[in-house]
Amino acid sequence: MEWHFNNDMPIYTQLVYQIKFAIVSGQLRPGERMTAVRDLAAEAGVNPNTMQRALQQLERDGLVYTQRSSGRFVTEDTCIIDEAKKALAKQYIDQFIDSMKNLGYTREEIMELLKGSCEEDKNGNIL
Amino acid sequence: MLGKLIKHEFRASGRTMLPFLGAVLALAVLAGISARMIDTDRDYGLLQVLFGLFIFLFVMGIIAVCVVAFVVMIQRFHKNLLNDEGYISFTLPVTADEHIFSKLIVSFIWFLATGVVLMIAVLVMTLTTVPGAIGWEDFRGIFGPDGVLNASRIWEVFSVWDIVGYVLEGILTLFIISCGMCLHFYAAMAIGYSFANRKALLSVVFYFVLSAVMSVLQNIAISVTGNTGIFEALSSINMSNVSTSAAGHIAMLVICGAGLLEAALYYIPTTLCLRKRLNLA
Amino acid sequence: METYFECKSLGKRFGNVQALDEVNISIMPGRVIGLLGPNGSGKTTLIKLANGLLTPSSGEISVCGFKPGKESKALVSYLPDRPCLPDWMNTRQLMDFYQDFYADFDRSRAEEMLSRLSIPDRRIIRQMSKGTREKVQLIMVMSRRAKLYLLDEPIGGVDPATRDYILDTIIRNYDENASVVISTHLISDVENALDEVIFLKEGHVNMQASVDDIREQYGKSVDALFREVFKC
Repeated sequence: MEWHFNNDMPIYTQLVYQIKFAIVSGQLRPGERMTAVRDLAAEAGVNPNTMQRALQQLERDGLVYTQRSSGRFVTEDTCIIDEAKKALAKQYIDQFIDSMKNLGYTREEIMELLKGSCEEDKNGNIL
Repeated sequence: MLGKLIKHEFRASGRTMLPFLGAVLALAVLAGISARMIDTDRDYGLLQVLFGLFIFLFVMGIIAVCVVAFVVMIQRFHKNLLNDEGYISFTLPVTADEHIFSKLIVSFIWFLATGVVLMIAVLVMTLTTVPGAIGWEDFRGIFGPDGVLNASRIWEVFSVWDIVGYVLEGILTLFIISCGMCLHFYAAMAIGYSFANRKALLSVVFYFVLSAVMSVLQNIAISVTGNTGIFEALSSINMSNVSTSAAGHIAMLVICGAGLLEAALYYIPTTLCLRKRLNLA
Repeated sequence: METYFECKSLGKRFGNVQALDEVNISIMPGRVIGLLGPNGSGKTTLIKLANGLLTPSSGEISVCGFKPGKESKALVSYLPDRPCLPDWMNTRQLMDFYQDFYADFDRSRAEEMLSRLSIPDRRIIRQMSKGTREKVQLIMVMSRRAKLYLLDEPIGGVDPATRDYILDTIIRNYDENASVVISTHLISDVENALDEVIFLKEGHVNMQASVDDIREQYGKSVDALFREVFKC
């Protein structure tokens, strides 16, 4: 896994986001066994306690689960993963719409532009 | 932990001491053999040069091993405790006293080993140089005219326990004298290195300051004991009541006691500086 | 819970210079703490006091429940800010040395880390490069299952690859219930690895806070906050 951190957000939040992203994008497959906390922390260059907290959060969200003896796994429940994916998508779209509104576009104009972009894309043109 | 400190102290100092001690023994044998060759050979030129060289090296080796034993004693304390290595030494789970004692014990053993090696070296050289130079005739003196070992007559005056006692007292005295001498250097360095700057220079200064203090204390001690009439009291003891052996033991113990007092006077500033005023650069 | 490191109005004076003044710190088990401050702020003095290499002028210091001494030294693993391994030893003798004196030294772990750096068993320390010596010293320190690790400038003056190696070695090896104190002025390099930071300024504790709290509260990195606090 590739890790990227920016400086103005808590590391914990960024870890939760990045692992969640890896799961919904399929980098981490459903049912896949996760690397041990200590090694995952070392890989990311972060504090093991922070990594542990991030994983506990993901556990509460149902995206990962712990089996007492054999470690931590990505959930096999694809519904939960899909839901998380949708939530993330919704977040991106809201952000996008917010930015566009700030630029002064109306809802309809945004839809037009978006449609145009998607079609261009289909024709093989680079945006 | 003292045992482990001593083990590693031997590892560290043995690297230097053992080759030197070995070299002195080897030179003793070489000098002896080359001297023996001169005797039997007519061609003096080369062998004489060789003999001269070995004798020269042997004498230099003896001087060197004495100097090295001394330098190693000082350098181990300085390098291991007062320089960068001190960061490791003083964070080991041992006390400052254990550090000091491990170094005192190991230094004493090297001094003793140097003495023993020098005796062996001289003996080896004599034996190899002139075979028969030391023959049975020379040992005859050890026996009385009745063929009984002269040394055994010692038992007429001293008991077994007396002899054991003397040997132990002798070793103890040597140990205390060795400790006193080492601690004089240790105290000077421990005090000198507790300052922020000019540590080495201050160590030298404190060596002489300590010498001066000690000689003043000795003079005071002598005049005090003189004034209290201890000497008169001692000399008035009727010696016929004291056996020769007991008198000998008393003399040895008095020497030990005096040496112990001096060593203790050097020990106190050493341990205090290492415990309370440690100031590694 | 018992603290692994505690200072109560600790002070240290060198002649006329007050190196530390009224320092109050308490560190819980299982945390990685950054001791941050510019050069001369008293970081090394504090760590030396904790190791018993200096004696406090005032106040108290306690390490794993003991005053610095024989008992505390058995529980503390210390990385000095300079290379100071006995240079005549080879790596095997060095491991013998650590094994003899520290009951918590895990030799197999040390051997594994040395072999991963392909350092031979009988390589003499004097023959190693400066960088290798620093790594070997870190390996010895991190191979102990200590309760408190005091690491003085572990990443001072090393290249980025070595810095990553050092941080990785620390994160992977410290004992789960132990505390780790890392002193440095190179904050951006270590801040992701820390739970908490302590800012030392001219011998005083300026702040003790968790890294994520700082980021949350100020919306900036510890490094950025540090630059603000210590602006010249």
